Amino acid sequence: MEAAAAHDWDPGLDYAFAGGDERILAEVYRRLSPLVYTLALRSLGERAAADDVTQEVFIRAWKSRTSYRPEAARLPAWLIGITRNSISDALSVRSRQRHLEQAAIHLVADPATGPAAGDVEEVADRLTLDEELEHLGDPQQTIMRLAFYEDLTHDQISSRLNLPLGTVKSHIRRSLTRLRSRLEVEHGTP
Amino acid sequence: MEHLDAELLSLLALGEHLGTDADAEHLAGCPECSESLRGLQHAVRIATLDLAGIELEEPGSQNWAAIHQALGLSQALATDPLYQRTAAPPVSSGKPAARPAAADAPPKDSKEPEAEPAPFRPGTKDRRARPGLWLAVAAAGIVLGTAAGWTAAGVLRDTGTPVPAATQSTPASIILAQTSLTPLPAHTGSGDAQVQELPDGTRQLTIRLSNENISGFRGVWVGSADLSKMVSLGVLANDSGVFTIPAGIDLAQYPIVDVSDQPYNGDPAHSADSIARGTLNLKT
Repeated sequence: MEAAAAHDWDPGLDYAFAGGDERILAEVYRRLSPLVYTLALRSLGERAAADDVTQEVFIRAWKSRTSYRPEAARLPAWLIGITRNSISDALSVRSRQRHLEQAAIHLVADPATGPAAGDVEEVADRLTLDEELEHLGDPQQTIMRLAFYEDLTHDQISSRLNLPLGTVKSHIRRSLTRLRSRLEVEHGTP
Repeated sequence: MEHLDAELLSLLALGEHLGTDADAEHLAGCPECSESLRGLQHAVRIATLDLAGIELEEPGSQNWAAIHQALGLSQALATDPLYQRTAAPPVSSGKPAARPAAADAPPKDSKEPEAEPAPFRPGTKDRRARPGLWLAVAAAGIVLGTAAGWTAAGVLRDTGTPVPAATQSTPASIILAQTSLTPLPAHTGSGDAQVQELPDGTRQLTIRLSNENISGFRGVWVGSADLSKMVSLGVLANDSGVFTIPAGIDLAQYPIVDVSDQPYNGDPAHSADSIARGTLNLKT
């Protein structure tokens, strides 16, 4: 399945999921399980371990749906967060069990099939940044979309939106810094 | 010299050609500035990452079976959702031209042509190399649910036919009302609006409205028939958006759906500059 399928998302799904409709869980699984599974597979290197994480993520997500707040987080980003937690749990269990082999196991990803670990991480990051973009509010969000997806310069954005140049520039600086920080938080770098 | 200005770094990260020779020289020799630039460029690259063409692996069917059993889901959902998906040719074919979302969204008509800013950047790097894919992804709702609004609407609306991919999940949402949105004088945007009641009783207003160049942002309102009373539901940032209707609002009293051009002046009131409007046909 192509990564883009995980990207086609609507807040309506978030609310329906929180509302407890089982059919939405199936739909969410259809769209996001390949991302969850591939993330786990690339990190853990074993299909059985990736299976365990995939099951755990969706079971955990469904059981905690009442604490999920659609107004605060989009489901893809939320599920990616749960996935990362499950993966680190699995890694730490594994390191306790086999601490001597731990270093080697990290490198076991099977390069023969599918995307490299980097690719799937970037897909997850892209979905995370989509959420962050939404949280920017306006006009920052509009400004960044024009810069990102319409390739407008800050000059052009300024005239398009009828905003002072300085305002556009400072919104761009703050927004981009925020996106950068979100990525760093996501990956645990300071 | 001093470090480069943070705004300049941000604009450079976006691919703008700015700065003096002295700036370039400083950048080349300053680890701190070049590190900042790298971080910002990475954020730009990720935010504009082309997802088309990145293949993910699908988990085996035993996973859904285990989830299904562990959660005691209904028997109707026993089939692996990933497996069911193959019933829909455009989704399983993997052809870049037939993006799943575009194919799934039932009333997708007006979407592709004017869907959000077509995100290929005339000025920059490799992303430009595949405008076709980019357009396709744009149509798939890459920018905050462009076409996606109706994908979910389709998912939520249908009640039973196990045919196309996105409509195979069949939550019991009810359409309470809908209307087309027609442009007011001096405006061109048109679209439609739909009110659905979710299984939990929440009412959602889904708006589709083609974008046009306006000076402000687009406010979404419901109002009384004579427009003397207006309730703000939020900001429509893209071609489509979903808004929750507060439980206390009786749509019979507020049948008008209105989208306004709101200036960035901090005034919360309706600007009196409406872009498009429609009257809900309440089904009772």
